[in-house]
Amino acid sequence: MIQPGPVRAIFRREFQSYFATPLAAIFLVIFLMVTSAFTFQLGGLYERGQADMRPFFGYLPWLYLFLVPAIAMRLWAEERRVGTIELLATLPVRLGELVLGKFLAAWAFATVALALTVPIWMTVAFLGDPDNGVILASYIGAALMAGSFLAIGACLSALSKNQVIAFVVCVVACLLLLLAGFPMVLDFVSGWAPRAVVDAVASLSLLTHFESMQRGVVDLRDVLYFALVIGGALFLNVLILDWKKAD
Amino acid sequence: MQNPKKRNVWVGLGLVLTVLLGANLVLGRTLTWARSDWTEDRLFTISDATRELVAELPEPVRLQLFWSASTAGDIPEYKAHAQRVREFLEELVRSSDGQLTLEVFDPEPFSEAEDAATAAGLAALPIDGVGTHLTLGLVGYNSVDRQEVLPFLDPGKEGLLEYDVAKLIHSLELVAPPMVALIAGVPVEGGPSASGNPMDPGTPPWLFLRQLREVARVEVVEPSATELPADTSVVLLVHPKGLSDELLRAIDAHAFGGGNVIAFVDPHCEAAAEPANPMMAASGPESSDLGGLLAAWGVDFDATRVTGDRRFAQPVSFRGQRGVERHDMVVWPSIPEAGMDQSDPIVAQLANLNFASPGAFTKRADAEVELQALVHTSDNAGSLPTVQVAGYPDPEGFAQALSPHAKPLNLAVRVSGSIRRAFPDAESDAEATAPAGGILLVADADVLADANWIKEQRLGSMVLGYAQFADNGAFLLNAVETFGGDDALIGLRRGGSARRPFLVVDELRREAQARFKEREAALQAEISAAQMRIGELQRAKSSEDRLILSDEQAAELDRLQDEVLVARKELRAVQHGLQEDIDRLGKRLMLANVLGVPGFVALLTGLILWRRNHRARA
Repeated sequence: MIQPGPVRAIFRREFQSYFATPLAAIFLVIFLMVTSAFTFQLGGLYERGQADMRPFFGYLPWLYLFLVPAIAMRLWAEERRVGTIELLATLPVRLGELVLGKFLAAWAFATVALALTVPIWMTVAFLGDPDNGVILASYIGAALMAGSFLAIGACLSALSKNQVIAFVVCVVACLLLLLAGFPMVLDFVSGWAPRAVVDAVASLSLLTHFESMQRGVVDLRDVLYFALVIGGALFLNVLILDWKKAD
Repeated sequence: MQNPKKRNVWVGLGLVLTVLLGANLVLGRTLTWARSDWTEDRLFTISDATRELVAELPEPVRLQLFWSASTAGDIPEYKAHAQRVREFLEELVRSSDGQLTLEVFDPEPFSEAEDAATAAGLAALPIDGVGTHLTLGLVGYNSVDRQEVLPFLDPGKEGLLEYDVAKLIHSLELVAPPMVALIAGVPVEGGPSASGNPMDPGTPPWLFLRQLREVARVEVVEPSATELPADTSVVLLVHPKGLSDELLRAIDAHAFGGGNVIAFVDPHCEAAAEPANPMMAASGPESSDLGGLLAAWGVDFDATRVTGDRRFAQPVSFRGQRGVERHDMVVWPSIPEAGMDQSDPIVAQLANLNFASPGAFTKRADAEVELQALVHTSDNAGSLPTVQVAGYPDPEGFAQALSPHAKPLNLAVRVSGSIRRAFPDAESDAEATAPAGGILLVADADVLADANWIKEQRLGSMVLGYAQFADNGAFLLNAVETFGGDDALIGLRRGGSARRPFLVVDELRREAQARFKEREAALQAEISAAQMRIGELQRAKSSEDRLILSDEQAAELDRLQDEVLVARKELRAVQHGLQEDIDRLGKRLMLANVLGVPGFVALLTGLILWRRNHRARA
C-alpha cells in the first residue's frame, strides 16, 4: 500500500524544486497580476459598489484553464523525455507514492498562488462588510477545482513527451469538463443517448459544482465530486506511467 | 500481442468514468442532507420558524411541484436550481411529520401534467424559438381543495424561496385572517387611467395593498363613512384626511376598547400632492389630519415641521442649474438597522426603511403613555418647515435649512399605557383612561408608496416582477400580523437583499460633500458679489454722457471680471473634487492589488533565490 513516508519525502523534494528556479516566482507574479487585473478592470470590483468577490471567482475558472495546466504539463512530460522515469522506477518507491507526492506538491503550489490573492479579500473587507462565509466556501471550491485541473493535467502530461502537447491537450480536456453541463458539450450526446446518460454527462461539469459552492453552501456531494475527479485522475496517472515506463 | 498495461489504461479510464457518472447519479439523490450553510444570513438553511410552521399544520397540505426536466434539463442554472428547490421541499416534508406531502410532475408537451400546470396558472417560459417551454412552479392544496400557486420559482430569487413557500403553506391553513379596515386619503386602490385611453390599463393598486390582501381580509372604508366594519381587528389609516366626525368617533371607540390601530400620518404626503411646478405657485403642504385622536393617545405630531436626517439621507441625482448634480436629500432618509429597535419583532429583521418627508412623534407632557420608538433618525437630524419641503424640491436648500435636534427623532412609535378618549360621551368621565391595545403610529404615509421601496421589472409593456430595495412592505405586513395575532410568518420576513454596499466609499462621499459644500457656498457668494459690482459699474457707465470709462473704472472692471473667472474655475474644480477622492481610492486599491502584491511576491522570491545562491556559493 502507499506509505506516507515516501510520499512526504517526494512532496518535500518536489515542492522545494518549484522554488529552485525563478520560474515559480514568475508564474506566481503573472497569476496574481492577471487575476487582479481581471477582477478590478474587467470585473469592475470597485465600480460595482458591492462588497463581495463575485468578479474574482467569476473569472477564476477561465483563468485557471490556462494557468493551471502550465503547472501540470511539466510534471511528467519532462521526466519522460529525459528518461528519468526509468530511474525513478528503480528507487524503492512505489509508482503510486511518486504520483501522489508530485501531485500534492503541485497542488500545494497552486494553493499558495490562490492564498496570495487574499489581499483582494482584504480590500473588499476594508471597503465594506462582505459575507465571509461565502468567500471562504468559494476559496475552498477554487482550491478543489485547481486540484482537479492539476490531477487531470498530470495524467495527460504522462501521456506525452512533449510539454506543449501536454499543455494543449490538458486545456481542451479541462474545457470539456468545465462545460459538460452546457449545450456546447451536451449537444454531442443529447441527440442519441438516453435521458439518464445526458443527465449524467451534465453532472460532470466542474463549473456547476464550483458555482454551487460559490453560493456559500459546502455540500458533501460537490466535495466528493472533486475528490473523485482527483482520485480517478491520479489512479489513471499510475496506470499510464506503468504502461509508458516499459516503452 | 496487445500490451496488457495499455489495456489496463483503457479499463482504468472506463472504470473511472463509470464511478464518476454513477456517483453523481446515486449520491446526487441520497446525500441531500450532508451540507453546511456558511452564509452569514443562513440563506440556504430552513429556519426554525418554517419548521414550526410545517410541524404544527392542523390539516394536511398537498404540494405539487411542476418541473419540466425533460425539455429544459439542459440549462444548467435552472437544472441545479430545480434540484435545490426539490430538495428543499423534501426537507420540509420530512419536518412536517406527515401533514405535508409532495408530488413532482414533468409537464411534458401534450401530457396530463401539462394540462394541470396550465389550469393552475403556472408560467411557461419560452426558451428557444421552437416552442420549448420551461416550467418551474408550485401548487398547494389544503384539505378542502383550496388552491394556492407560486407560478414561477425564479433562480435569481432563491433567497426568498423559503418565505414564498412558507407563505403559500400558511395561506392554506384554515385560520381566519384578521379583518383590516383601510381608510386612505390617497388612491391606494389605483384606478382607471386619467387619459381616457381604452388601451391604457390605468394604475394598479399599490403593492402593499395587494400583499396585505394575501394575509388579511381588507375592507376599504371611505373617509365619509360613519362606522367601521363589524369584526374589524385592525384599523389601518393611510394619510387620513377629511374623515367624518362619526368615523373619528368610531375609531376613537375602537382604540379605547383595546382595538388595534396602525396610522400612517404625514406632514406632507408626496404621493397625494400635486407635483411641484416651478412655474406655478406651490400648492402647499398635503398634511394628514386625525382630529384629536393623536392627542388623546398621548402623542404630539407637528404637521408644520418635516424631519430630515443628514446621516441617513439618500443621495439623489438630478438636473440642476449646472448640469447633473448629486446631493443628499435629507428629507428622504433611508433608515438602516441602526435606527430600528432590534428587540421588536415588527422591525427586528428589516434591513432598511425608506421615508419621504416624514414628520416626528413626541410624547405629550401630560400623557400617561409609553412611547416605544420602533424607528428613529440618527443623532445628526433635525427639522425644517413643511411649506419649504412642499415647494420646489431643493436638496441643497433643505440640507441648509435643517435646524438640528439634540436627540434622534421618532419616525415610528408603539403606544402603550393608558390612553384617553378624544370624544368622551356625555355620561362618561372625560378623564377616564383605558389600556391601549396595539397602536402603531408612523410619521410618513409615503413609506407605503410603491416608488419608495420597489422598482418594476418590465419587458416592454409586460411587468415581470418587482425588485425590492427597501423593506417598507414587510414593515406593514409584520405590523398587521403582530396586531392581528398571527405571527407565524414574521420571523421569515428577512430584510435586505444581497446588497452589501461599500461603506467606506459612502462615508467618503458624505465627508467630501460636507467639505466642499462650504467652499462652494463661499465661492458662489464671491461670484455673485463680483457680478453685482460689475453690474453697478456698467450702469454707472451708461448713465454718464461719456462713452468711455475712466482709467480707474476700467481697471476695476478688469479686476472684477478676472475675479469672476478665477472663482468660476475654482468652483468647477470643487465639483470635480467631489468625485476625485472616491476615484483616487479606487485607483490606489487597484494598483495595490494588480502591481503591489505581485511586486512584493517577486521581491520576496527574488530575495529567497539570491540568498540560496549566495549561500550555495559560500
